Amino acid sequence: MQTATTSKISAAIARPVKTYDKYSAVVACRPVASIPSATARLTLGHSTSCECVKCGFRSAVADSSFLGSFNSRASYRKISTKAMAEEEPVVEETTIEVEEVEEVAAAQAAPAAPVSAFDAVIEVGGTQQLVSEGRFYSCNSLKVEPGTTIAFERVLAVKDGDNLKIGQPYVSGAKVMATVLENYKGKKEIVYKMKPKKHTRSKRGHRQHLTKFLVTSVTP
Amino acid sequence: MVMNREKIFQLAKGFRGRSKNCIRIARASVEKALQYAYISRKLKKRDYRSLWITRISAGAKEHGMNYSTMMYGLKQDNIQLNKKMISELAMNEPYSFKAVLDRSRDVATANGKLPPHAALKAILKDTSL
Repeated sequence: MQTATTSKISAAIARPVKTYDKYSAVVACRPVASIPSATARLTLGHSTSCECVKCGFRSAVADSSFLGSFNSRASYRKISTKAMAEEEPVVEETTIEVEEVEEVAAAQAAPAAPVSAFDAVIEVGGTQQLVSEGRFYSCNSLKVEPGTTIAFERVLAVKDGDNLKIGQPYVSGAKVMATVLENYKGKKEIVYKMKPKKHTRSKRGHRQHLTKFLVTSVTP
Repeated sequence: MVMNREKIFQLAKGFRGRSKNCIRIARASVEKALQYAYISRKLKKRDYRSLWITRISAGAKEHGMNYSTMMYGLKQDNIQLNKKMISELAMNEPYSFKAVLDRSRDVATANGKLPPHAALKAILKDTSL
């Protein structure tokens, strides 16, 4: 287990350390020379962009503020039902200590390639998102029970080792498997319309229905 | 709709001067603020798209191509990555962005949009990667 994880880390430079813990994840940030330590605690919360609190490095995860209208053609396929709901949605079971990652990162010389924080671009909920294995993302409501496994088959681009496979428009045979974590409602927005001096006003509240899903595997 | 004073003052937090303290002034300020919010939610989408285009353009110019040629190439090739995604790649995944750009460059050269000498010049100029 130990060697497997260290080789995993050394193989993919600064691949995130994945310990899922409902609203936070320990992620290794990019080992740039200026960063003193290679890990930081990020709060991913409901937003899908994550910024390292120590170095300010912003991982390439999709920005969830533009969730378009829900596409009536489902972009996902339900694989299994809530039978797996009891299982903990922890993807990579290892909890790697801080020192280990730091040491490995320090041992590496200046990394040659930029950090790949993305594995695939999928089309979901009328939007496109950069997804990466082991992270969770938000999208428009998928109307699926939490705990089910779903497959996203509209993959626009996917990383295949060192290459990027770009689809026209979709990569054939590529698939992204994910588990639905929860269905929740976004922050309330007040929609207020009024015309001055015309005695018209209308006030309405709106909470967007969203779904959070955890990406378990990406097949190019 | 009538909003009672508590709600108004809750929404008026951070406003300047008496707009946060006096109900008559606060009511007007809050109404205006909510109207601006409604308009800005629509503006936000436009602003971001413009920002993505700027970023893609900057990324393409680093490689000697311009935004319009690149978009032409992608459209001809039926690559449906949207501007948000391409701009994310341009910012954070330079190799992936270059892969996308190379595809579009090939198509554009083949269709005559990018003259061969310009393409070659661009490749020779490409010192970033």
